Amino acid sequence: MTDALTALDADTRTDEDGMLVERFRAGDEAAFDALVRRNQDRVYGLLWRMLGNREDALETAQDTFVRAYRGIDGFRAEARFSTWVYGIALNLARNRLRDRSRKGRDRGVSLETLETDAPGAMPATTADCPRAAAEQGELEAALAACLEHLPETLRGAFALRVFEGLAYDEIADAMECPRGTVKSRLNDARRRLAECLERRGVLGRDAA
Amino acid sequence: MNDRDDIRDDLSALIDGALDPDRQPEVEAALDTDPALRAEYDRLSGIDALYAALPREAVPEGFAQSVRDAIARRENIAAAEPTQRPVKLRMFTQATRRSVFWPVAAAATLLVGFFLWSTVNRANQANTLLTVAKSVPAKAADAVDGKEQLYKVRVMPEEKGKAEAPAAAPVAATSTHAAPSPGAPAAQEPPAPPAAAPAPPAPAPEAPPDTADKEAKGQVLMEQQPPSADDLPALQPLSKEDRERALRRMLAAKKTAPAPQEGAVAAAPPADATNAPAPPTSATEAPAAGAGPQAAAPAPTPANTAEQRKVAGRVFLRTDSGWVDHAYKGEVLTPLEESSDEFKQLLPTHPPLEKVAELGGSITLRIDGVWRDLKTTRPLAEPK
Repeated sequence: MTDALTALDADTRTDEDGMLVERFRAGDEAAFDALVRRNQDRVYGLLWRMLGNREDALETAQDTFVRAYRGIDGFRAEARFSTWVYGIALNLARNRLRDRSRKGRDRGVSLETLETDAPGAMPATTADCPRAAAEQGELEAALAACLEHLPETLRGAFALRVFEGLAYDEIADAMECPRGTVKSRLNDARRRLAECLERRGVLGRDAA
Repeated sequence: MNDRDDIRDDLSALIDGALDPDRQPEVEAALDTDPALRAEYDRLSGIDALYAALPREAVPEGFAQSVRDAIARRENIAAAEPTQRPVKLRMFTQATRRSVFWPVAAAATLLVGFFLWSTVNRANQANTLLTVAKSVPAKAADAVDGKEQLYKVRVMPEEKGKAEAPAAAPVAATSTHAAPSPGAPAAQEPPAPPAAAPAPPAPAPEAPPDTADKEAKGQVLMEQQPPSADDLPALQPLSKEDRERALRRMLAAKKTAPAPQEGAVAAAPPADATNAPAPPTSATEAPAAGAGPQAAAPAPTPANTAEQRKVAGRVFLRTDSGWVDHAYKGEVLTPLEESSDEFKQLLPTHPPLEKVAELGGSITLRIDGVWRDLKTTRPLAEPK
């Protein structure tokens, strides 16, 4: 039922995105700006979960839309624009993560570091929120740390599913993998997150 | 994998509502009957709830405009690419040149090294041949791998002095740079190679080997060096003419006959002398000091010419043991005894053999394309 609802919502969005794409292809530059505004928060949110760093997420989101602008001719009409843009964003995020690994350093602020060393320096999601309390910040930091510890493919599938609400088929399109792979990745991601959160005492208080 | 594990694998899809409709009742029934499965389902479901509760962060204001600006910058860069491309190409070319320079330099060094090595190697081979030629009679060339490997040797002054020191080493001075003897008919001498040195005045080989004389000879040889000698390899494979001359000089050096007087031509009959090429010997090429009874006789002649005989249309050169066809160039010899049945069988088909055998001694000649070493039963006549 949940998946069906998200699919319906996605269809609605896709219809509008599809029209904007057609207008843009017809020469309406403003249509692309509209496409950016309609998808920017989701793309940025995905990249922030993937990269764990606000600056990197913003840069990569911007690069994602620039590439979408220049590669719009490669977009297939039967696909969803959002799914296509998510695919671009995931590829760029993967490249950036690999660059980090090669350089041996993490340009971003580690979510793990935030949890252990600077719990007060939370990203805007918590630090800028007046409701944020110390306990809430600790919980969010633990969640972010466990998510960051997931392998990139599991993290991407989980983020697309939980944060962006994509259906299995959309995730499969964005990650360019079979639907069964999405299923196993999500199952694996949830189990690992559960184990991580239990070790940190987050999940054990209520579950199991 | 049992059925319970299969159900555990489907819990995530059940949470997402993505389970196959045929499979969903089976999984839900398992959750109702298995408390552990139910607990795991609740645990996994709670994860989604925790993460979904995390606040989302929106992009800053003006993000869409920043994207538009970035696109404009990229397009400006793309528009400027035609003018920038040559610069990039030049940089690429410079980088390519840098990356190619050292391999090319290494290859060039190897080539130069190989050239120098091959030159030295050829010099060593020639020196080896020279040593062999000193100790082995006229057919020494055959001993080198069965091939004739004669080389043009440019003897330097000090080497010339050493070469002349031993009395029985006339071959050491086998310089193909030597010019035709002044006493020999110029028409009979093959043209000298372009690199050949100008004709030196030939000092007497029998002169006392005193230091002053050696220095004088050295001076002569120094004068023989062409101005561009350094531009030429010290050793070069002999041409056909050079090989003939070298062989004849080797033969002439071994002859025991007294050197003819200055101005004398070959001891062969005049009729033969016009047909046979005169051995291009010189005093520096055929020092016969101590080589024979008459070798000690003062013979400061500019030319030592081997005795020649023309028999059956062939020109034979006199050696200390017999005669050698002037066309012989060191080929492999097959022995032939005059007293053998083979010789007797050859006589009916080769009547001139009888006249050739009359020369006496050991005769090198070609029969039916095969070079033979004919050992005659007749004594070798005293040289004229």
